[in-house]
Amino acid sequence: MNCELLQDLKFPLFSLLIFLGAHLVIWRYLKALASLKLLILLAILGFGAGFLIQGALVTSLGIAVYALFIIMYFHLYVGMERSVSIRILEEIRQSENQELTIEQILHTYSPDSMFISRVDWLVQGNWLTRAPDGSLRCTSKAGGLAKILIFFQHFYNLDRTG
Amino acid sequence: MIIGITSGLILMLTHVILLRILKNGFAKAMVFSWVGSLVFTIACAVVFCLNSKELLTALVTNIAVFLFYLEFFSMICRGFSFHIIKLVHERQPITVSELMVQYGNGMGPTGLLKKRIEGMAASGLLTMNQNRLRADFTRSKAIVFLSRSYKTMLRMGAGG
Repeated sequence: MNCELLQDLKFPLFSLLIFLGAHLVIWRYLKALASLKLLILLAILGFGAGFLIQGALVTSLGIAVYALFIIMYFHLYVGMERSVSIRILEEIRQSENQELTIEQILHTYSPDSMFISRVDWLVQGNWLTRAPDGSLRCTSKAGGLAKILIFFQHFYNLDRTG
Repeated sequence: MIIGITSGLILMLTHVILLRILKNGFAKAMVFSWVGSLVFTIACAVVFCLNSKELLTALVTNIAVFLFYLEFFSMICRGFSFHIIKLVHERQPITVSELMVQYGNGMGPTGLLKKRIEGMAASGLLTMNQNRLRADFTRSKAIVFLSRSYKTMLRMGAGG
């Protein structure tokens, strides 16, 4: 069983190594390309490369383990990149006395500028349009996404979100 | 693997039902649903006489589906960009300043950040003493150490 299990784990470990290696090289040396979309593509390519090289050794356990690794890694990556809580902890630990007031946090990590930059990012990504008077509207793809979101919020009976 | 995926569907259904019963008990509903889906997986293993490798596959798939679902739900529930899009869709045309006032059921980004800080204090990640915040707990230090090392390694910037 142990030997069999090791055989099963060869595929996910190999695929994960390819994925992490490519991820590290691109994020360190080709920073302009780094994005969440590329990370998803690398995860698929890692799977494909592992499948091509270890074809006969791929089992359903191997596929499940690779899927688990990738989902856990995406949790880590998105958490590190976007988590407000982690950023607050970092700001406090990096401050001179390792102590900050709420006002100091609001000054160093302004939620208003974070909000404005996210709106700008949505305009650049063609999710929102901005009229000359500054008013915002949804594009058709954003409208579709909003409808899906509203459906799921009704489905889950969520009243306070965001 | 099919058992693992089916247990994921059970997780989702149980979660929807529990959310309607436990109003705003997000965490409790999620934990109970996951435990329910785990019990289903183990029960299937017993009924279908799975060997240890098949059971392991079912359990690993169950955990993967659970983590995927957790991310999906938190995106629906707390996704920042999603909620900006939804708000614009409902109130368009709207200016950025109007959007900021209405975001988070009228709390705005600053109100939400304050709420997050209170949540972090309640969950034991930091201490709040007369408006002064400290993060001296071992797990807070560990999170910051991990985060700083990770961001340095991948040249990611401040994040957040």
